[in-house]
Amino acid sequence: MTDPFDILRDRLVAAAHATSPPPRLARPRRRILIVLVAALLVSSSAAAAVVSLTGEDSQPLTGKVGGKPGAGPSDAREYVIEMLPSLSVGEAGWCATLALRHSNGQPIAGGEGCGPAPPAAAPQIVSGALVATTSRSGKSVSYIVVDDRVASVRVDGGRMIIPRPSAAIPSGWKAAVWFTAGGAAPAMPVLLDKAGQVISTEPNQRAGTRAAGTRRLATRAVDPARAPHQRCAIEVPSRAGLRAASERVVTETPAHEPDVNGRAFRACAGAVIYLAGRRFTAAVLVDARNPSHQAAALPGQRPHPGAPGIVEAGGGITARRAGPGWLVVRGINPAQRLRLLHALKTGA
Amino acid sequence: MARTDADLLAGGVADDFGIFYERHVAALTAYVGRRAVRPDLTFDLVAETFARALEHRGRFDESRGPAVAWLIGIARNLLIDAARRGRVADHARARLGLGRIELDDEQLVRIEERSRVDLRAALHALAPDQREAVILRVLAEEPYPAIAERVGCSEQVVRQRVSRGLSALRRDLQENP
Repeated sequence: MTDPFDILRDRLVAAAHATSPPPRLARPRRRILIVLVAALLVSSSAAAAVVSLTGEDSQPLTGKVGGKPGAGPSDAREYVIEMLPSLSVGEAGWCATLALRHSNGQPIAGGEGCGPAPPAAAPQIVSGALVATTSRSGKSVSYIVVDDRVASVRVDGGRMIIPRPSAAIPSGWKAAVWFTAGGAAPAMPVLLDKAGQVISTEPNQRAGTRAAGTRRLATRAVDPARAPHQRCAIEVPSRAGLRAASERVVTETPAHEPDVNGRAFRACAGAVIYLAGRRFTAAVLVDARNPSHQAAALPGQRPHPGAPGIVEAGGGITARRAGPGWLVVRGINPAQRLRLLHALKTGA
Repeated sequence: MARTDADLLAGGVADDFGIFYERHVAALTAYVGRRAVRPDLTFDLVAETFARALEHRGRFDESRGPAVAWLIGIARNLLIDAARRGRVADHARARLGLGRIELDDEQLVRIEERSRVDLRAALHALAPDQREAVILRVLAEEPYPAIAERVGCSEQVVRQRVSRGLSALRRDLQENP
């Protein structure tokens, strides 16, 4: 197999040989800027301070940008923020998506960020922002998911946002969503407790190193058509229109219980599968602390209409229980997700 | 001493663009791979991004930011365009006569593997001050003076943090493909 990236390099170099160096041109600046900065761990300072806790309620996780028509990014009308477990095999982590769309549902922009599950001492779970503007006068949508120690969030301009729980995020956590003006990415928020004291995000910063307790476990590639006989593996049947591109399984057991905040999941097996030409990701998710324990409900979980035992969850996920864990399928088409979920088998 | 990206792009030497490509393909693939829904689309976006970079290498201005930010900016525009039009543009590749690279299953798996490189994890492995500087400059496209004001240090220090952070990131991505 020739590495396609090597082929591309050779062709680019050949094309460079065939072209003379272009003259320097002024860079065009006027263009739509859409930036997603997601899953960032807060790195703001944690100097102690006492402040008033009067603030504004968080915006919901799904709503209209700016709160009224015409107040948001140039052509954005609605935003949707969803949280989901990381499906990256070996990792105990979280992902969050933020999408902007027209009121008719047509997508405008969006993106996703993922990171390791923070340790129990870390108050911030995930955060991100989407800047969509044609000029510096545009607006951005920002969000942060925090644990119950956080009573308010101080953001740009000294505004105080009161986070609130939501069915779209795991139980016990809260989300703050706010809008800011200007084309620049918003500043990292400051987290405050009930007394108005700044909560240190130093544990979040430490979690950003690979030496943290939530490091990714070792994995190996396996043949999806001949999945190993083990509890955590996905068997992809040979059927017309169904093709498994790859599968990985975890090969390592943590030496001690991982230190994670809340009920995190870990993907112990994952496969990339094509159904009727569309790409799907399947994964077995287990409780990150103890895989033999019943894994928690998925964020935003709701019953799939007309399919007993099947649930839909945030981030375009369809899932069913597999032993104490979940078998989840992620992809664009819900009907195909369901079909794929019925076709797949696990060792659980 | 390693040649700068600006040197590689400005010299007009064809093989230099190959060095530039090797230097940044891992980071760009990781960035695009997290946002594209299929490995063939990831590869198309990476290919078109580098084709545009080759076409417009005379536009690269080091004073505006690092080369990887320039590449990510190109890729971001292509992603937005692809989301709106339902397909990845191939104008630059067509103009350069690159032709389409047909991908077999094994090659798709290879792209998938390179797409799985966790840019976030690599970012998180950076020192906090470097991570913040790289995120603000490369992902959020904040100008250096604004970052300096925000983090409370000189513009020179911010530039140094971005430069060192990107070097560390590149090493990490190359060592953990």
